[in-house]
Amino acid sequence: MDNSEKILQQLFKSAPLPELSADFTSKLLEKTSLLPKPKAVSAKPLIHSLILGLGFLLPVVIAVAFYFEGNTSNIQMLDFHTHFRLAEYLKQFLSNYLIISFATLVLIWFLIDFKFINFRRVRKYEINVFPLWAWELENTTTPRRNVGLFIFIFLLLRGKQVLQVQ
Amino acid sequence: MAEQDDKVTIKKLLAGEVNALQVIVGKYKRQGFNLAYRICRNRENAEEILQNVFISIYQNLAQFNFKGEFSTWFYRIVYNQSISYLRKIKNSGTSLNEFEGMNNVIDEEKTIEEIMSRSEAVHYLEQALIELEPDETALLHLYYYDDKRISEISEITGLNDSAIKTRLFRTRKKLYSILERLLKKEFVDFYG
Repeated sequence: MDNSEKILQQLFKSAPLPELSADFTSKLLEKTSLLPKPKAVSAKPLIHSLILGLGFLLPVVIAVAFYFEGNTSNIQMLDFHTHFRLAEYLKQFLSNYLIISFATLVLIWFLIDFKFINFRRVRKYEINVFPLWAWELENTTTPRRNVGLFIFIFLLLRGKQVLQVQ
Repeated sequence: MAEQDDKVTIKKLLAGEVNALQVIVGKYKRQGFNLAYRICRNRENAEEILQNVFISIYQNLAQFNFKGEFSTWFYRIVYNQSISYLRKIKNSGTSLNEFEGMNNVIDEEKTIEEIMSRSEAVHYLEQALIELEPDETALLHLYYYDDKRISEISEITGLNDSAIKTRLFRTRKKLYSILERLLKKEFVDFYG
């Protein structure tokens, strides 16, 4: 802070602000007495768990499917027929459109996470209702950003490769 | 330490000790009111916003993330509700001038002599703050009055750190130019 900022700070601190009404707390307590008591939520909301599940499991399933798809000859050679059938099934199921849609979804998630898209501005009460936002690994967002970035790049490259083959 | 106390109080409240709300209200009402007042510039409205903030917190306390700080969560709700309130006022067609005309309870209640005896600088600052946008005033208030760190302001407003720094810089510049204009006007009025 330079001198002008220090002066500004002093001015701010000495600027008088009005007082709250004397009955503010009593009025508030009267209102809250009519409301149901707050309770701790023991289980995570269903949507939270679903998004968490999708966020982790779907990329893993897709990554596995793509891995086998890219190495079918090796699989046949190693006689992993069960895995090969699973890969074929998933390959049919995950069309190219789905890959691109999913990559877009991951990109949006990634942009929100980096605050390029300011999701908070559209939220009224700023209470953690957005599950991806609330999901924190050891109180830091870095791991999930890395995971998001990895999934996005992987899907983008893979989707491009699939489209080129076609 | 204070944050730990807050979390203990919230846990008590969640366990059914309704009296714990009084502790939270007692501790945060002044800070919340100051921020709401700086944004909406009207005492009655700031009180109404703050009542809604505490009710909202009471109803959604279960969603509080214990990893974060309660004070930041509280400030974020105050900030958002105050900004939403202003938007509602604008959308309802109430003129902002009319709205601003209701402000500055202190000036309305004090005589000219009292204003003159008060620090001139503070008086000009208050005048200049009226000309700033509400979110700009909120930034200055959080940074200079409440001594919040950039990272905390980022949590409260939802803007990233660099955006906060840039806005603070621009707002300061704007404030200085308003102050300069006000002082020049005063000089011209006084000396003709």
